[in-house]
Amino acid sequence: MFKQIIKIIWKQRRSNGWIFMELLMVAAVLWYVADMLWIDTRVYNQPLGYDIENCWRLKLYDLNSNAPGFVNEEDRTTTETEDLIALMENIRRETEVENVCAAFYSHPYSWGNSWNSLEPVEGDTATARTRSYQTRRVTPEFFDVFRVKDKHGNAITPQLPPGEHCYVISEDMEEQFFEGKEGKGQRVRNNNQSNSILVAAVSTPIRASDYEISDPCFFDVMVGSQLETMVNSFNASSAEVCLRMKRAMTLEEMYLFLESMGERLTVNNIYVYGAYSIAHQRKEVISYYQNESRTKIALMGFMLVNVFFGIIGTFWLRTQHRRGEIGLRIAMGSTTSGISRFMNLESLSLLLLTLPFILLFVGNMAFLDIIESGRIPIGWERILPVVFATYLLLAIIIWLGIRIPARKAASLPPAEALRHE
Amino acid sequence: MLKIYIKQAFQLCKENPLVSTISIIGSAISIAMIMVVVLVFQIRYANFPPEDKRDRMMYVSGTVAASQNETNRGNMSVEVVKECFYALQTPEAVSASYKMLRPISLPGKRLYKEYVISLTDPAFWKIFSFRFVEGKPFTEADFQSGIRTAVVSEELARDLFGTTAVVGKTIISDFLTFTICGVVRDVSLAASDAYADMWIPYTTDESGLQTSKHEGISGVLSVKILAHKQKDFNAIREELTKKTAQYNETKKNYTVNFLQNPITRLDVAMGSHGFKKANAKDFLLSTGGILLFLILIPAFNLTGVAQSSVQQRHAEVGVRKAFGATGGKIIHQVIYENLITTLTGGVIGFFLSFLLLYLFRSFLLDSSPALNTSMLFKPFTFVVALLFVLLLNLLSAIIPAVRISRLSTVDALRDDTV
Repeated sequence: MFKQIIKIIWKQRRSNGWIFMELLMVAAVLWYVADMLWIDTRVYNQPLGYDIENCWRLKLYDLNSNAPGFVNEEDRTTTETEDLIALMENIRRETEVENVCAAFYSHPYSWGNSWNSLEPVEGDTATARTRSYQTRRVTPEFFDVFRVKDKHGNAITPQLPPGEHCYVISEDMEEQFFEGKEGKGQRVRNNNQSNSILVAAVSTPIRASDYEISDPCFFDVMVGSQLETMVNSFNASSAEVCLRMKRAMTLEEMYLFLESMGERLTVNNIYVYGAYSIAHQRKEVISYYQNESRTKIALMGFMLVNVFFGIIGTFWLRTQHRRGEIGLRIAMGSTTSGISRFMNLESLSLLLLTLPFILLFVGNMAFLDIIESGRIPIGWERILPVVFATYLLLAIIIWLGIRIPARKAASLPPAEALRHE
Repeated sequence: MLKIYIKQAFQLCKENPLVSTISIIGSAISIAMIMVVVLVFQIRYANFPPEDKRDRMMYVSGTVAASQNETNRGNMSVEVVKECFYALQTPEAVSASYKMLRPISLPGKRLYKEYVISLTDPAFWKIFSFRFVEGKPFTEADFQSGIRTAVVSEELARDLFGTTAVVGKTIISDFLTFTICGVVRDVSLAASDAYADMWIPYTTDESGLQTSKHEGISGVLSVKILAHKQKDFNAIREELTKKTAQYNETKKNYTVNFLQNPITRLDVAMGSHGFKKANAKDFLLSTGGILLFLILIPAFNLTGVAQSSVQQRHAEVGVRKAFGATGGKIIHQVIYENLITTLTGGVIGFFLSFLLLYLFRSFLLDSSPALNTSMLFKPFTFVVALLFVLLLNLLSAIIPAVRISRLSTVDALRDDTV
């Protein structure tokens, strides 16, 4: 049977050649695109390490010196830090608000990118290497607002020593920095400071966005003088005041909520001027990746439609001038389903013939590191399923495409068809 | 002869409706996808109001303030704008501006909805052609004295006041009161340089413009230059180099430079920004690659179909040859006949591309801008579409045409040639 099909394919090589070339090209591109989409999907479905539902960020600004209500430096009785804390207290007192925190370039999807190197404080961690880790500067309530849990799934805030500057490190940083030993309760030193700081808890790994894998990181928990230092170096108006509301709100509802707070959103020279939901910010951050995926999906759709049409067109015309052969088959007792099975086999064999070339191509791409390997390593468990999925998809399209000409061929009356023989 | 070919092509379509439909849809999808790529580029590149002088414009949005041990990339201060750009003699106009996202409130009512505010200068109104529904732009005098006047879009006026007759009314931004002096037609986000909801003189933002960093070089402003004609571009670049050198003489530790700026609209359309000028070769390779892919895949398909359909007609070709038709004539015939389907598909695809662009504008053109005919329909658009149709036709028909024309008359007349 198979031998016969190969013979037929070879006989029809002129028009099959084009289909073969097209399948070859499409299979290669399709595999490449599918591989990228497969990585995106795998990464997308991993846990993020936080929850942004009903979370908002309020934007602060400094009052213009010409604006009414501006407090001159000499008339001030409070520090900027105290003003920021007072503003957060005003917000926390609202019944619709569940909790409020402040962060500096560190809320989820903030684009923040700050790195600091840490070193262990002697003793049992002496083997750990000093290196830089992504730093997120947050107040203690951050872990409640964004539901960041420790690696055992417990709340983090109760584990923090009240009023003491401490760090919370991520599980993957613990793995790297303490080389498998328990990190909680250890002390570390920031490389440009003399005093050591307590690692108060170990959080789950944190991913910067849905399309990125987690980076080892630590939270710099700002309280007391540490908060003051940060406010003085970054300005109170750069603080990301983030809140979790008790219910889901639209942007308009949030504006109304802010309007209802009136003058309580101004404390001395800092005031709240706007808000965005973290979900909105998420959309902005991942839009680049999503646009890329959409372009890839559009290209895939384009190719599949073309394969579909190519198969229909070529096989339709072929059934017309192979009426004689088909008639003979029917006359010799072939059933209608037999005819379409035969045509299916012919086109699928054509697809199968591309496989060795594609495997060569895939092997080359993997070997030369042209395909992405940063987020998910290259390996059989990645290559085989994607190649399989590519061929399955193409096979389905071919099977769909062959149905129309096959039905026509099978419906030929044998006597009529035989006349051509 | 052409008439006969057309007639024959129609007859063939009738005889084999499925195959013709497939060829037509195949070409339509190919042309639609290609035209989407072309239209996206066109919207980034072509002139349309209010950015209707893009071909004569130059852009500077990358400024480097460098000392021996520090390099700062950002934008420029008012001082740099004055010394290096406002001082230029060659251009028709020079405008500096920056944008902020801020809420706009009414007197006595603090609101939070944010709008895009463009802080700019009077030359802005010369470079861009806004249509004023009410009032007029803020004046040179307003700008010089930092008087808080504002031009607003119709949409903003309606949002806040429910009407566009708002000239003379006051609005509040950052607790400062502005008087509205004009209302303009809404601007599409596709005109990203002109776009804003409110335009005010940048001299009203004293605190935002105050800068002591890098000897007063770094700031928030970027510059747009309008040349009298494209030929002046090089003269403007030379004059800017001179002015920059003169300005740097006055500085002790820092110097200013603008990297490869000013860049032209073509550079912008190819994906350049202030700090990285796009390479024309890279752009052609990547965009050309996509276009090639979009035309080659369907061309394979159509070749396959054309090949099968021409083979069926070898008897007819044999007869024509027997009566003296040359190979060239046969090639002509196949290509012309094929053109009928490609052209039909091309026309469908051309209109389909507008639909696709509209439906997927949020991901094709970032920030889903409003689209209008003035940016979409250019003579260029039609010429490009026609060129791609012809190319697709040639690619898909040439091989079958040449093959069948090479067949010897006797072979062609025999019935069993496959």
